[in-house]
Amino acid sequence: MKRRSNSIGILILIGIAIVAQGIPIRPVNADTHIQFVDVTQEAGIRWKHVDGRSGQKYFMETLGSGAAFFDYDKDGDPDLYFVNSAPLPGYVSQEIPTNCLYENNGAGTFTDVTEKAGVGDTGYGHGCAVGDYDNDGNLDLYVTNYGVNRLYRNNGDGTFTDVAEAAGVTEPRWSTGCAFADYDRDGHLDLYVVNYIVFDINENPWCGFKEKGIRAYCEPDNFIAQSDTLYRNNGDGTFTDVTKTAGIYNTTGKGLGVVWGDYNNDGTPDIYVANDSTENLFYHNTGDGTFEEVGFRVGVALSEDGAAENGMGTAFGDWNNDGWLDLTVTNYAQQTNTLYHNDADGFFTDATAMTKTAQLTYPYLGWATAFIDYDNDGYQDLFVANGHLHENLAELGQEGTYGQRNLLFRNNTANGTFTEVSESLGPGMTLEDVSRGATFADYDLDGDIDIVVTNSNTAPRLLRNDGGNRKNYLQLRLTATNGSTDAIGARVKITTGDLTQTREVRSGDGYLSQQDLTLHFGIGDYERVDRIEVVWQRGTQQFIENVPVNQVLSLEENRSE
Amino acid sequence: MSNKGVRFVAFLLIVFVGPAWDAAAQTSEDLYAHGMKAAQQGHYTQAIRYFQHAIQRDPTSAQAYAGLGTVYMQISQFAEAEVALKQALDIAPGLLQAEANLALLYTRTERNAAAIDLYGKLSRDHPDSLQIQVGLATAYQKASRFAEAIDAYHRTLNLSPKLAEAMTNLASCYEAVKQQEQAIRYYTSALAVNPELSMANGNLGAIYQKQGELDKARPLLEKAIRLDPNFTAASYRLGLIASKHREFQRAVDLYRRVIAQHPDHIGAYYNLAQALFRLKQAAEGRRAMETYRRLNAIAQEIDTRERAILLEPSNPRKQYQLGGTYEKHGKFDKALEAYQKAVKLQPEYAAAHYKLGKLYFREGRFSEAENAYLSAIAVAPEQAALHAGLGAVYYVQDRFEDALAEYKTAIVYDASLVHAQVGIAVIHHRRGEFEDARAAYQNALKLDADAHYALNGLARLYLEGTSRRGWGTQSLPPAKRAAKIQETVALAEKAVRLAPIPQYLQTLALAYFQAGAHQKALKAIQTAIEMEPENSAFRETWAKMKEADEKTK
Repeated sequence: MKRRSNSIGILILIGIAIVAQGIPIRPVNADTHIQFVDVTQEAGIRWKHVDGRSGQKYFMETLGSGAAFFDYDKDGDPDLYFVNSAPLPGYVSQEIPTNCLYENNGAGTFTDVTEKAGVGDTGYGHGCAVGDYDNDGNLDLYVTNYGVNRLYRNNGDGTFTDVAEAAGVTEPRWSTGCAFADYDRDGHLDLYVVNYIVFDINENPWCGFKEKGIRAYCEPDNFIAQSDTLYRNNGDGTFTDVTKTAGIYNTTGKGLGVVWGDYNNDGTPDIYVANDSTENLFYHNTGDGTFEEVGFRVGVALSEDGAAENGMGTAFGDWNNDGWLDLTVTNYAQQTNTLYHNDADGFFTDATAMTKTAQLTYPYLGWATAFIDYDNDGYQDLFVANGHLHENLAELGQEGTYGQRNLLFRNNTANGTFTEVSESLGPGMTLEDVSRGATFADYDLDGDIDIVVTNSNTAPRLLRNDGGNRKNYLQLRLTATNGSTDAIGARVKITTGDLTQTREVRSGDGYLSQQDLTLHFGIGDYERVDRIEVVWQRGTQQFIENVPVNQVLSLEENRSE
Repeated sequence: MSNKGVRFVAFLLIVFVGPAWDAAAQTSEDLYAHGMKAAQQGHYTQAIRYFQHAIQRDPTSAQAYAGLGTVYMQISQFAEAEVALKQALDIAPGLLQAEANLALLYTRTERNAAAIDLYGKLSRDHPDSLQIQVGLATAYQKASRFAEAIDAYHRTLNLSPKLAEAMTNLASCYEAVKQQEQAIRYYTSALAVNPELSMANGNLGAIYQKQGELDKARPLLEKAIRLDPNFTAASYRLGLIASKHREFQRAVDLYRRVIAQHPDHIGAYYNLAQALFRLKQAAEGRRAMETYRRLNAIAQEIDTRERAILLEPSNPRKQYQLGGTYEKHGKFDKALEAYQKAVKLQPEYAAAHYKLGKLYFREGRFSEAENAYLSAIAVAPEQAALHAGLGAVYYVQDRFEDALAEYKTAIVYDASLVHAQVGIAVIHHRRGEFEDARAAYQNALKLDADAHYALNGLARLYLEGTSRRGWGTQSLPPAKRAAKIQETVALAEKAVRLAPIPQYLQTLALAYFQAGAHQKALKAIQTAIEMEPENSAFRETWAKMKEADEKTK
């Protein structure tokens, strides 16, 4: 770990183009040796995931849960939230699993503030997403459950209140992924909730080798899919279910991961949903409040050979820095994860094999995924969390192991390929856990991206990035004044010499998780950023030029625009 | 081609071992030598005769039996081949020609375990025989026992280091066990020996394509297709490369070629749709997408059933359900296999026997159909459908008395069984017992007024009445005759409306013609010809009608 030497720079954007001055420039370090170190214990994280198992192989045990990095108390460092499962019939323990909020102490440690904050939900939890849905300047939290979901409104005083019922977003079905975005650009965050399958806890089917008495978790094919839900924010603290009128209603998808992103650069966010064993769904935002499902047509619904795979997590990211969002989906073992290249013409090409990510992901069962620039070279790398869902694989005659190492593909920049480098990244990246969710933030404010991985039925891992900051970086915190204050949906393009990077502020992605809303850009060896261009949610643009690197820059939307 | 799309080379050779040719021979040995000569020249019928004569002269001639079995195998008459080869081995246990060819026969008839056993023995006895090592390796490969196949191919290559086909098969075994680097190595070695080997080109190209090495893959796949235009997997992989290179029209052409060769190729339809959308041919793209979805739904349904069997391999019901799914989607061979497994697991599974009976009947395997129905009846003697099915088996073999008995038994158990009534009608019809036939057809139509086969049968009966004295319309006064002809037309029209099959159209054409509606008749028979262009009876009917029509003009 390396602490950042300079203080956080705060710059309020006023005009079209501003030259930043007076902020120290950190020297470039040529050493790129990077290690991820497991610091879970020393950071004070004691929370454990409990899947509530009792040997009866309830299907929900397999999904695990997500986590969120978000600065709930606005003190400048990302805090950490974990979603937990709950006891299932037959579970024997005194311990009642709860969700958990850790406040970042700012010195590399965390303090459990769950009880005080009032966010210790005891439902059978899966996913979470963050957004300031009521535009009061505080980040709120949505949690999905097998059962009623929660919307925790941030009271701004370190406490939260569950307002899901009053807001009309309880969604009592089996929900998994979730994400906020202002799809109709009215200045209020809307909410997409992914629903998985129809499952009655009282009718748990017996799957596996009946003749040998070997029980296994069922497969998604054993269950009926159910439609996801799109909630439109009414702007008064309540939401309206617009699933059908917006064109989202679809009972074919068994959804898990979800991500919003503007794939065609038309200024409106589109929705991609990774489905488990059914075609992935891609909703193109038509701009008039409705969506058109285009997954098959644009080439992101299926594998290269037309197979519906077991989609788990998903993420958008411009990995080739061409200004168009590419897409990735994690899949089951003996399927490759898929990397789709955005062709900038409304279509995607399956680039999995060409990017050299196919064979390496084939043996693993992938869940969380994210494009992150772990080495600050200005190109987004690709992280994948892995772990099987059957602990008795050998008995079931399946290949692989229950615990699996996670993968980190380094972006080779020049030739459009990736190289899997996790083995060279220290002990934290070679652990063989049964991983599920993951969230990303520079929690120790040292200028590189750290990783939290949730693991099924055990403790999570906080993997501190040591050395990623040896190249330069720039972090941006956006505050909107003309829309949702958290700036979710804003798009930032920064140019440094011949390097141009594009990011969006995004709520909920990967697998059931939320990464920090602060945008992190690796800048490589450049010492100044030539130009920052921000396109805010409602379409207004602002620029800033000649910005020193290695700082956290807070940008506020120009009120006059 | 294996189910993974990786081809392997069939290069097993039939073993002919025999003495030199002697034209003046007349003894069994001489006849055997004649047979060998004829077989080696490809005159198989002649060879069979020689071998049979040789056996007549000397029923203890193991060599003659072996020769006979070998020739039968050469012409794919496997049942006869097996009998002859086993007779040879009864006479002369261990006879190399008979054992080697019997092992090969097992391989060709997919009895891989038996092939492996026999080749294994031969391999121990003849470790330096190239053909036996090849046979053993191939049998292992076909049985998906890839590790053993790899060992056997390596032994083969020790005996013949430049055998490109063995290198190709070895490479495909490495592919099957996901050792891609070894696969690449041996495909490359095979191509160094024989650059014109389509399978090595195609399979190596496919590996490179899957690895994203498109520039390496492309020329190999192009060459594979040039060498073997029917190499579907190579065309498909090349199509994927064309798509990646944004050569969408070329990709469309390749995917269409794949579909022409393999109409159920889901991946080709998927990628065809994608390429068409890219070319802005939206309507065609949607059509391809719809076909993709239909085929994919079928594949998924079958996959679900197959996976259910993996979980419960001893459950006959699961096999039965799989058979039903295959049957529903026209995969009759696989359906048959599944039903066979069901009855093997549960010999008293009447429903599975019944399904077997139906499928054997469909394939013209009447003796097996009869056995299947009899097995089902033994378990469920009061099931009318079983007797009706057995009746049909007897009927097509002209065993009318047996058939009638079964149909009548069927009706005893289920008087509403239309098929049985029609069966009875058809038998009476065939026998010229027209009144009985009419009564039976009418009984059938009382049970089901929309039984199109009864409608058609009755119409035919009436039509035939016109040419038979003392029965039917011929003997009726003109007014009644005209009414009867109209009735015939109405029956035939309804049959066609319910089931527009060419045979019914022929009946309708004949009815129209008799009613004097020549143009309608010609149109109907022309439609039948369009549906079955190779049916000479339809063309004959058309010619006669045309001729008669010209005369009336």
